[in-house]
Amino acid sequence: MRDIRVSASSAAVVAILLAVAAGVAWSRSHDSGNVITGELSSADSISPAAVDSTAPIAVTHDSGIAGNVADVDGSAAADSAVYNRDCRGCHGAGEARGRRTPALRVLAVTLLTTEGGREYLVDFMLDGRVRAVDKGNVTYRNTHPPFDELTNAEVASVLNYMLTAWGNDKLLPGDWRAYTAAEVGRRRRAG
Amino acid sequence: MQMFYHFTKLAPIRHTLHVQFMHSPASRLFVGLYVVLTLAPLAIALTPPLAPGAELWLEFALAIGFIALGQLAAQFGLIARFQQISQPLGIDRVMQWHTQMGLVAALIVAAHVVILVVGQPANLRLLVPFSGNTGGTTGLLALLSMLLLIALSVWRRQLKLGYEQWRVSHALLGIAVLAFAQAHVTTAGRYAFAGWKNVALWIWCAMFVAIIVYLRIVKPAFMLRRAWTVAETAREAGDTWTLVLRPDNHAGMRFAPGQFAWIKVGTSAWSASEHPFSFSSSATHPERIEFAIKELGDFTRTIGGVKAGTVTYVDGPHGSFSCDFARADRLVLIAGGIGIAPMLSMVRTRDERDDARPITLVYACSSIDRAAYYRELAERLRRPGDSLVMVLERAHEGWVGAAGYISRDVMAPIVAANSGSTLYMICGPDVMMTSVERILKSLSVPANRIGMERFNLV
Repeated sequence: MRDIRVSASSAAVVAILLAVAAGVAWSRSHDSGNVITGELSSADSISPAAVDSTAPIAVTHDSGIAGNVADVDGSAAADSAVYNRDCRGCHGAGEARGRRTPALRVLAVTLLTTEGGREYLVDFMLDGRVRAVDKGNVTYRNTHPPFDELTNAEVASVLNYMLTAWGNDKLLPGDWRAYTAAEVGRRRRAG
Repeated sequence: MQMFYHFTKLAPIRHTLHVQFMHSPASRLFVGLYVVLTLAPLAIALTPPLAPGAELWLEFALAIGFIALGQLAAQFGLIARFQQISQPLGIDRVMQWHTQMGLVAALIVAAHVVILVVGQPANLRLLVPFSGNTGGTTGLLALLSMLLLIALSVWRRQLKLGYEQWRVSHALLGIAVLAFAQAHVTTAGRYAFAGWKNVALWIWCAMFVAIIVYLRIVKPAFMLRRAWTVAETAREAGDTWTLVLRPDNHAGMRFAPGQFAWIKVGTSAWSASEHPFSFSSSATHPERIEFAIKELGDFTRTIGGVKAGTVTYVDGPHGSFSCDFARADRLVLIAGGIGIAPMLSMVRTRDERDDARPITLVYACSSIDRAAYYRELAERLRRPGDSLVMVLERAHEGWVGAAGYISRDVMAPIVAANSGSTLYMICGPDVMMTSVERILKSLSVPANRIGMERFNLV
């Protein structure tokens, strides 16, 4: 027979621990973290007009077969499901969220079209980022969690969605290729 | 005390007369320390930098996951045999806490998984083994290791797993659970993507694993210099043996009457074959210690064959079940079966110290000819005020004493004759201790005058 006093004490401790967990969870769910986008704000100033929005979008697979965005293989052209599940909470519909998150509208395409940008986006999704941003006497931590638990297809799907949603499709270069699961897989293995 | 019996503890005199768990400063300190240690990983995780928070259900699942991690680490501290913790609380209660918190941690881990899946059914795929998702795989391995550890503990006998084998597997699985759990935190990454946090959490876990490394590897090395040898094994009544040990080139071991030690007989100091027994010798002779051992299991049935000169290692003394740890003018010792062992030590010590306190010994056993140490106890308990009350389950013809089990009829006159500052100490089968405790309380004996140690190893 167990000592009932020990059992009562352990029940009390469990109650304390669960209460702490609940308090932490509530606080965190209302927490915008400590992500500052000071350096990223300059990217928002790029005008969509600087990009030829009339050029048709040519989308190719790795296999070289051309097609519309809608014809890209299902895993890469998935709808917004993964984005809605994992990204919308912070990034909304591509708009900036105060000082918390940058606007993916325009920015995503800007990052894609910089040198090394295509690989950078995949790496960013898989590895996240921690970077210090100094503002005067204060150092802010710019953070994005890694999402390497997503499958290759899901990562490709999210990237393709961000790059084609909110009018971003009109900013894409003419020779843009949608991401594929295979490409993400190669980058994951290389990393 | 043998591992199969149950006891409940008294606190050492320097704390309180009786530890009512959660009513004493020592136990409140222990519980507070436990809560702090358990929350430490969560505190590390919540230190900036932090990503923006997610939905409430997800944050709660993550928070309880970190709490479970803290509990898993703390489990190692509970089995460390730190005397600073076990002495005031009672090692039996610390062991019970270890068992209960282990089950609680398992339930919290299960809740963590369930919440993650219910909140987002797509997360179910994380439980697919080797899906390429390292966060899911390590979490799954931690969960499976934990379930296996619990199953082997709960169903050890049904699985016919030997005690030593269980101890080794329990330690290894415990380490595996903690390692996989921490790897899961690292690879899932949501709260540990900052490098220093990962390092801090791994160090935290390693500190606790180091405890078991100390217990199983380092401490035995120190015991090599304090070995003992078997002086003799003497047969007693009732399938009981007295194992007598002498120190090998050292001064011996000081202990309080009623305490116990873990002993390793004829094996390496690193052997997992280690068994707890109460000292039965007088505490005034640290240079010669004795253990009363009854043939009850695989190991105890071999005691009779142990040869003189056999090397033995003694880890002790442990426990706070002792008349030395509480003030009393009179002692009432209530023993069932091999529960006589610690009582024998208390009686012998009293005589050797010239302690004037009278002792009433209530000794329950199956029959008079199976009552180990009966003649010696009858001889010793002849002082004015002393009394030996035998309670025989199978009374022989002509027996006029108490028969059956220790009952209210047996205890009522004893309690009446021992008013004042009397300490009641109970040692025997769990059922007997529960019954006697209930009887004493019904006779208005205060709880803080009753000493017991409930100890049920696997």
